[in-house]
Amino acid sequence: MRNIRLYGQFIRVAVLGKVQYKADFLVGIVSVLILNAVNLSLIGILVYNFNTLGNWNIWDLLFLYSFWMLSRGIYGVFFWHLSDLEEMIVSGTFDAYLVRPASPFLQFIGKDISYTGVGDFLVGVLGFILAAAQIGLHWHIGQWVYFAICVLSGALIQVAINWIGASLCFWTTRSNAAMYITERFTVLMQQYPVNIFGRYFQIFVTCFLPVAFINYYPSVVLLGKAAEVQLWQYGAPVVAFLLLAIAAFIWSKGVKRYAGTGN
Amino acid sequence: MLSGILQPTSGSVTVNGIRPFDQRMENARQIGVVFGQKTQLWWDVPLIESYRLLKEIYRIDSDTYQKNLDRYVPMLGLEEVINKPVRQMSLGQRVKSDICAALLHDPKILFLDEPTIGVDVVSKKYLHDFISEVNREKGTTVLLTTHDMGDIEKLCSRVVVIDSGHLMYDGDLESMVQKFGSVRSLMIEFEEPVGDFHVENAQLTKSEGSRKWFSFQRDEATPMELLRSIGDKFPIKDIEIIEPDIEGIVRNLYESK
Amino acid sequence: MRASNGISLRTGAAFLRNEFYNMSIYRVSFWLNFIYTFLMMYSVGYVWRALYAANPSVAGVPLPQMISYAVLGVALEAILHPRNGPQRYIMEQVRKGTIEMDIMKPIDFQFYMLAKNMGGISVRFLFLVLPSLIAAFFLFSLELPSLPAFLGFLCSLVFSVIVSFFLNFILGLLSMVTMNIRNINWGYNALLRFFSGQMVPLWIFPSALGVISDILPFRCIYSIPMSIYIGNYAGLDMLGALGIQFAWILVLWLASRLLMKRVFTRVMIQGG
Repeated sequence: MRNIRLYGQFIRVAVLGKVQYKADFLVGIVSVLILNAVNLSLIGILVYNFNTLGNWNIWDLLFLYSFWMLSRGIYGVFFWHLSDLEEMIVSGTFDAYLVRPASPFLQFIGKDISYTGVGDFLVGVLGFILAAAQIGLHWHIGQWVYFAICVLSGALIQVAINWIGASLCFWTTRSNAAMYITERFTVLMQQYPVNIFGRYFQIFVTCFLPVAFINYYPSVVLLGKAAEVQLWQYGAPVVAFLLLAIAAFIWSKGVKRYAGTGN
Repeated sequence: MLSGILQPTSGSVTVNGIRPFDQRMENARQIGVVFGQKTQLWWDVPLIESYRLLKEIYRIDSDTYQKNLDRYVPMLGLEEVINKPVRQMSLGQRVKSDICAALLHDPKILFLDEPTIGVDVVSKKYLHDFISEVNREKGTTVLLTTHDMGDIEKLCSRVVVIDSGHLMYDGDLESMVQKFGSVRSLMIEFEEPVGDFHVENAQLTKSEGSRKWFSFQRDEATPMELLRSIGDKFPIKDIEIIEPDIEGIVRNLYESK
Repeated sequence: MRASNGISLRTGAAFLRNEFYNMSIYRVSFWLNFIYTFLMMYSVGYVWRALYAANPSVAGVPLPQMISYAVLGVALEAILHPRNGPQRYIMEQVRKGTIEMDIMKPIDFQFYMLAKNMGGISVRFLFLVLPSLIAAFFLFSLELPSLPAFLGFLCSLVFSVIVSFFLNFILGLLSMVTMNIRNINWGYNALLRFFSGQMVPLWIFPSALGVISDILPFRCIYSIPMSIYIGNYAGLDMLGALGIQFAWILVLWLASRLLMKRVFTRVMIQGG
């Protein structure tokens, strides 16, 4: 499809632009590695002292964390710049997209690429290999396929959430502050098994801000962490699909509104 | 609204028969837009890469693309920056690059939004000549929004003045200046300072050292007549004819309604 | 009495008032901050309860104290997190290319930054930290300290704010001479989070890491005041801890003055 080809061209130019800053690339990767090392070390120290968190041991937690990193990495590389929308609306540079014969959303997501996602993905891969080895995972092909689908779904859920958050700028002009808070909150949630938190929290991160489907429920399913795995806990791909549909809807409404209010 | 960004709250808009907001894609293909203050080009990559990307977006066929590139790049003097990233260009070069970008797909209409703000005098003249040329050669309609009288004088055959949605004036430039820019100014620098004096058909508005400023009505006196009558009495060293500026003319326009 | 480099109580107070006014304008971000703080205070309580359920006596302090420690760490973030430090302003000026204007003002640059920062911190303390602490007491199991612990805590908190300022200021100075500052920021924030004891208390660190955390200044920012609050440092120990903070203040003050001189010389020569 033409749009895919166009997107490919956009990404090519974005990479071309980024490659110029070689020093940034290295420092960026290193700082992401440090950040994740810190996160993992903190969890590690806790478990070193306490042995388990609920019925999750250190390797289970590493699995959980790596799962998150894999999907976050994919999201980060291609969609990190969603928060740029606020600035583009405020300064009016978003208009340039509306004047060209191409989808504004395509142009927007094609405008940049981020290498910090590469660092996250790397951490995810390493962590997964280590955890899988220590836990002694032996999956059949079905589980591997489900795993891959859930990683992708996790990425798409993060895309959808941030897409919705960015689109709010069409109504409130500024939404980055709120998104930042949401991000910091969910970052905590992703690192721990959701079932240690109170009932209301669990409902919140399952039904309203479904970040639990990014890594927790797939991990429960794949590691067999619940005595009886419920059917809905398999639903990460469904959640991703629904959330994306909602996000696309909100975006298109937002663009219409942008045009109607004489920004 | 003409570029399809905004939707009219009432009434309708058509551009070349196309309704811009409802048929956004179609309209986008026939227009080119240059926002004077913000570039549409990609910041960190060589200019030619931005053009290649635009070729994809506008689906320009290779022949047209190459032809326009070969024509406009030398015309705008962009050979030296064609491989440079936009962030390394001066403002003048950037505006030229943006204009070239807007013309690659042979748009029927070119929107220029304050294109000469902050641009140096030499580049400005360059741009004026270029735009006139394009308009003449390709028949491209150029819609210019500007506060710069120089832009208007050099380029515009038709002037439309709009205030808060009301049409104040629609006609050619000369008539507008005749009607609403009737007061001109003549600055005379004398060999030596002279005292204030009265001149027929003109009014002394300012006196500073050996310079005096006289204002006069366009249809009541010509600069030559004034110079002759003044020069007879006092030796003149230097003069300047000051035309009414666009703000003044528009002000007169408003006041007259 | 006004010194020739502009340092005076009056000037300081003027900046304070200015920042006060500036900050009160951003109401939306304040409410967002509240929501975030509440959610976090709520969450950390659960994490610690889950941990203690399996092993109640490993961490060396009883659960209520541990939860108080954790909740305190969240509440204090509003004034101790680097993102509210002077380097944010400095980096913005560097990015816009207008840092020379600030350097050339007829006032000592560091004092200028200090006054601005303290203004912001005062506002945040009054409008964010204090309400959070009150909420934490009623809703999130924050325990009240003994009187000596409380007084020690207040003194320690002032020290930690000052240490935090100097560290952030040095970071700001570095941003004037390097292009990579955004990523350096990230790395620094991460290290701070780790070695400051905000999330995970330093006394349960395995010995090698514990030694490292002892010699770094980051413990002055969260760990020492919070430990004093929950009673981990009492009597002579408390004085010792306050002493450590004070020593770091002196060291960092000296380091920042020297660095400032060198950075300014370089900026003036190279034009930023």
